[in-house]
Amino acid sequence: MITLTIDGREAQVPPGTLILDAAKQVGIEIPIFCYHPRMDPAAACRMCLVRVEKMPKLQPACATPVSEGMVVSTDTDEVQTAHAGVLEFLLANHPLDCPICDKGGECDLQNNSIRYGPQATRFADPKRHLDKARPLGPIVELDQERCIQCTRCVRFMDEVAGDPVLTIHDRGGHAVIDTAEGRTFDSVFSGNTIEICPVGALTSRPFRFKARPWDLDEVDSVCPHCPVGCNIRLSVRHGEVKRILSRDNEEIDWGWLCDRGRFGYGFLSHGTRLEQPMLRKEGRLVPVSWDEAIAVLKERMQGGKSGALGGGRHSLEAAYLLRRFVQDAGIKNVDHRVLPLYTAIAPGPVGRIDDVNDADLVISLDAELLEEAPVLALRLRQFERKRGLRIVSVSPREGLLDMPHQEAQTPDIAATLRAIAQGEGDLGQAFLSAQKVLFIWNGQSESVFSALDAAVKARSGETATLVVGSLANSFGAQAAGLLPQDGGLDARGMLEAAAAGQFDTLLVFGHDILSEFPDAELAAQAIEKVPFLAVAGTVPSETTERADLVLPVAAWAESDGHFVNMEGRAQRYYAGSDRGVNVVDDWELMARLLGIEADYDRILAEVQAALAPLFGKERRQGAQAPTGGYRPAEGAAIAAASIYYKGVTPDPFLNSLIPGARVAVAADVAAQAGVAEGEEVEVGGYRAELHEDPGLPPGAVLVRAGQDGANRALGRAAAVRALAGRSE
Amino acid sequence: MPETRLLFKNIDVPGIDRIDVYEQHGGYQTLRKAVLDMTPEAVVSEVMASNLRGRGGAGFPTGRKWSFLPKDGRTRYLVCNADESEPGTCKDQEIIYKDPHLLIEGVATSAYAIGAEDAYIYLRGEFKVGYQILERAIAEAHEKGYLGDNVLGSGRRIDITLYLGAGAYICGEETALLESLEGKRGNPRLKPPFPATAGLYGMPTVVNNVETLSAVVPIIAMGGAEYAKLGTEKSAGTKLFSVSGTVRRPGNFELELGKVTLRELVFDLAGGPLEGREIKGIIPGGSSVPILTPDKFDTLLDYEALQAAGTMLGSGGVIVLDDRSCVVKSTLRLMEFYRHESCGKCTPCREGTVWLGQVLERIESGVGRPGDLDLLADLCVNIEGRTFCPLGDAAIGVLKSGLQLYHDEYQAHIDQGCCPLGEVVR
Amino acid sequence: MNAENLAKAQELIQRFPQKSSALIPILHLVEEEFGYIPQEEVGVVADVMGVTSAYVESVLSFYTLFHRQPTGKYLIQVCRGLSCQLMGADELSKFLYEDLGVERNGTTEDGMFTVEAVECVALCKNAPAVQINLEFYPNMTKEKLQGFLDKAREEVRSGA
Ligand SMILES: Cc1cc2nc3c(=O)[nH]c(=O)nc-3n(C[C@H](O)[C@H](O)[C@H](O)COP(=O)(O)O)c2cc1C
Ligand code: SF4
Ligand code: FES
Repeated sequence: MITLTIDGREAQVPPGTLILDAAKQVGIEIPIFCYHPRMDPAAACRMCLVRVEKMPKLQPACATPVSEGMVVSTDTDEVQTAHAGVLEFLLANHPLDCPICDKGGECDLQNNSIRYGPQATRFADPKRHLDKARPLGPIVELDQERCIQCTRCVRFMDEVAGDPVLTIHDRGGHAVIDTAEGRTFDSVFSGNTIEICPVGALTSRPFRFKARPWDLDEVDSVCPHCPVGCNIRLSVRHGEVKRILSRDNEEIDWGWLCDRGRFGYGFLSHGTRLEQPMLRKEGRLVPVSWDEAIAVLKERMQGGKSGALGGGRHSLEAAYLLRRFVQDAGIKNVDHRVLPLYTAIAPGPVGRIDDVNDADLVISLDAELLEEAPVLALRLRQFERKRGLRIVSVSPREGLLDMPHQEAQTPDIAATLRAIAQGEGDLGQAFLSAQKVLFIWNGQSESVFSALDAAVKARSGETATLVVGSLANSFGAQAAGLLPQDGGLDARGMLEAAAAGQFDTLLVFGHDILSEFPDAELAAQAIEKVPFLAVAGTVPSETTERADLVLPVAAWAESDGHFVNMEGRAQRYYAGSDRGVNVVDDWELMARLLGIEADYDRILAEVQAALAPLFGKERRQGAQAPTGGYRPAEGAAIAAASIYYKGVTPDPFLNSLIPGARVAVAADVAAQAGVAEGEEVEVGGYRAELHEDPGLPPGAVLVRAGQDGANRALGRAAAVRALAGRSE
Repeated sequence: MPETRLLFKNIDVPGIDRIDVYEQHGGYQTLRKAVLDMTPEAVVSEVMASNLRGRGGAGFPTGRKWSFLPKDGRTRYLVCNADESEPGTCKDQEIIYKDPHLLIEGVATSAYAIGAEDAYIYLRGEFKVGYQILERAIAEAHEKGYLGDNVLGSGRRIDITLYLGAGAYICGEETALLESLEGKRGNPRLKPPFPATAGLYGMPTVVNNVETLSAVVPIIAMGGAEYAKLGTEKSAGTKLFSVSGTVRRPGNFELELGKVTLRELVFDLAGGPLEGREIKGIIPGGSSVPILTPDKFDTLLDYEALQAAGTMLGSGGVIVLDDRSCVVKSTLRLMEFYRHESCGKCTPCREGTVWLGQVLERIESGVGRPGDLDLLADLCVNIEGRTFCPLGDAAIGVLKSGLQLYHDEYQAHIDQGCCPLGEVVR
Repeated sequence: MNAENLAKAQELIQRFPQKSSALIPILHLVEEEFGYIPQEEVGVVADVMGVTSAYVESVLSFYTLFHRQPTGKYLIQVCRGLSCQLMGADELSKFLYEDLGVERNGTTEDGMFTVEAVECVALCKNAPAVQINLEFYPNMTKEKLQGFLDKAREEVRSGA
């Protein structure tokens, strides 16, 4: 520990602490612009200058580490003059258009000016004129006149995101931030630059002029879009979510969000929500009361062959109550794995996101991190950059992390994993000798599950696994027991039974089976044949249109609850925005079905008691191999994840960012199909551009999920044959 | 007070840029002596003993700088700073263009001393012809075995790579230079770490000026102690001074430090003022240091004496202003230079040079306002000591002193709405 | 870039311990070949270096010797450093602007001459100094400049 004095107060901090942070610890705030706690200091803005005894010049507190016996002053006349001087310089050419600036009210330049600024400006010369509204990309717009050259945005893209799209052009007083000609700011992390811009230079095109920051209520929440579970804040005005900001969590997100998380809220209010319980009577869906809807569903679920599909998109509380309901009703056909997923919980110890911090080796098994768990990818990059963390990707497709990690492309993940576990090759040796190994897996295959189980047991050191590729609450759903019971049917089994006319009632909760289930043909047949289909959800979909009973539930932002992220960590979110009068909480729906009182606190207490480990601090333990789960049909395509997809949380704005439909095929398939690179093809009824990917194993076809109808190309449609058929 | 020529010993010898002529004048004997008869440590000791201080501007003791390299077995680099961009300074240029083998010998000897196999010479982009001259000279040195995989049969590899900048004064600052040498924008780096621990490509690196490295040749030839006898205790040896501006015989002069006054240099060696003029001020150390008025012209030319006189020796670029030179116009010109050369990274330098330039432009064009001189002085305070690198301090060096020393001339511009010197003639 | 320069670029990439160092020398090759850095070449350089065009632009925009617009056959750079200004640099540039009918950084319509006023070029002892296509011309006068212009025009006229 190092002892130093700041403004007469004694501080004790670990070596390497910056003066800025040491001051914070003793309650002294030093103003900053360019410094960001999650990035390397640039010491460029000079706002944080302080006096350090025995040093000839004022020192930047953001870049000067403490030393023993140091004496620092932050509020002498000299320092105050320096603060005012920097602000005067920054304000000289600033347009001062605060009344129409989106950052007004939460602008560091405003705030610092009020506290530390000069009384008046003496600048009386013509101001610099630059571009005021320069769209950098679909999301971010730049006002070059407001920019103070702190370069946080440039450094974020470079240091954190590893995708240096933003650069500085020219130099000196002419320096401006820009992208290159012909390249737009299309990173999936672009929104972070808006949040970390200390002034109103970078603004969000979706949020522009929507509200003034001081009119917004801030509500703590958790991102519902992937199993990372980034912590967020909802900014709410008049009951509507106006924007989403980060809520820095050291163990999870470090204050970063991906653009899906940051902008994926448009579906909440875009006017086409499910608003009213509806029952099909004489072929038409007509409004009914909740009492009638619940009574009908209860009756249909009793007796006969019925089952439930749900769990990943709604609260842990609802998942728990659904499990209680099916158990009480003696229903064995239950599953939460509607997407390509075998398990949301790996064997052995469950990984934690901050395992990345001290792991020696990270092995990614078929995971597409930038698409499936973007913010986790950022953390990996940080440690790769800072201490050369070794990251190995075992996957039949190209690795998607833009960093110098090692590739081990292979068609057979399980076999490769077994070889690694036996210490084969350099990687195998590294695996066995590493202190700590973290696996990151997309949870898709039973054979990988058992290979992973063996691999974890083969090591004496610490080993843990994170499962990506599932939904915000898939871990919670599985932990609550939404899996086939005592030989019951899994998702595919239920649909097969329904398609064969051997099923009576299917309850779908939070999924659009028709557009999401990886075997679209089977889903369509099942839904056509099943005598009674009940769908609970937030927005209309192809599936709700064909339902016999539609149950509107509140979206996460309108409700209280927990999501359990990929670490098995239950995280609370709070209701922020308003919901329709006939819309109920997801757990309330389940409570009514169960016939218990819809008292949130009481339900939560029961969940906490039953699923205590999810709320605890200890590392979660892994699962046994589940039965059923994702089984790709013979000749099926490989399902690739996509960060932007329609799903059941369509955001009109984000939908415009979904990339064009494309399938990638292995070289032999391309040759066989006889179509040219980039030509449009039809795969199982899905039209897309064809591209050859030399990294794919022979015979493989890869379809990126997300576009309309992409799932039709995935399943039984036998994409490969369909393609080859064209050349016959 | 004649010149004392160590570096310029052969500067006027015809054909000295060719290796055979250079050899005929004793060239490469120093390198031979160092590589074949001395250990690297011994060479460093001689340089230590010589009390040589860096000639690039900051005057840091060269032997000390070399001794900071960590002994951890990592690859080391020597980088020669040939960016010479400080207005008023043109001494390195003369060595490069006229006596390139002196520099090559100095670089090779120093590289041997610090244990670097690869040395880089970073030339400002405008020295394209100098680049070609050095390129040919390096090829000659290779042929003769002074450079290459086995220098003079010693088993040591020493090679020199040339690098041409592309127009940026800031790349003379050592860390900006390293960025530029790595192919990046020339922004200065945060220090620490200093180049000695993490320099070029993150490796331990020594950055020295052309004149500094050239001086290593006579130092090793005559012995460090002998060299230290020249000049004064704290300012040892000889130094090149470039005299420019309104004098009769502008030029480069090599002087023993602490033995010659500014007056002697400017009035005797450089011929004094132009016909019918009077010298009213001299900037003695490149465009970044305070001006001296005639009452200080008897200051001795060495580090301490100039510092005591309120200015600095800097790069040795001596710029002379006479009674027909407008101080406002001159300080404006310098401010335009710094504004043009600011990298833009830190606020006070980026914004301050622009603002100062605007105010000076106003005063110069006759539309200055009453409070402008206080404003200028205040803006200097807001820059001084607060910028990321020393360019900010450099930018205000002349202006700040000018405002004090020639206050009336500035004020007259504001009061009369024009330059009191009338149309400034040459 | 022409084939020869592309080959040189590859050679430059090998020359340094880190590839990144080759960027500025490669940009010099482009500037030499075209007299400026055309937009398409930014992409070519980016590909050769394995970096983004944005990065290349960011670097090249830092350095004033890289031009983004075509320059004349003769690039005349009049030093306006303080020492040269004290010795009459302004008059030299004024003369050139008037004689050639161009503004600062302008190029004559026939593409013959570009006139720039540049910062100190380290020829202070030979002020006022001018650089033409990066050759130094010390102690310049209007008369010497006029002579140069006449000779250059004559050369072009006679097809030399
Ligand atoms: C703005 C700025 C410009 C500089 N320009 C040069 C230069 O052109 N040539 C040079 O040798 N040193 C220059 N320096 C000094 C270098 O940073 C460095 O101190 C020097 O190269 C070290 O060499 P020396 O120890 O041999 O003097 C400059 C420094 C600053 C702050
Ligand atoms: S990484 Fe996942 S949880 Fe985090 S913001 Fe993005 S979508 Fe949301
Ligand atoms: S916050 Fe320290 S220099 Fe910007």
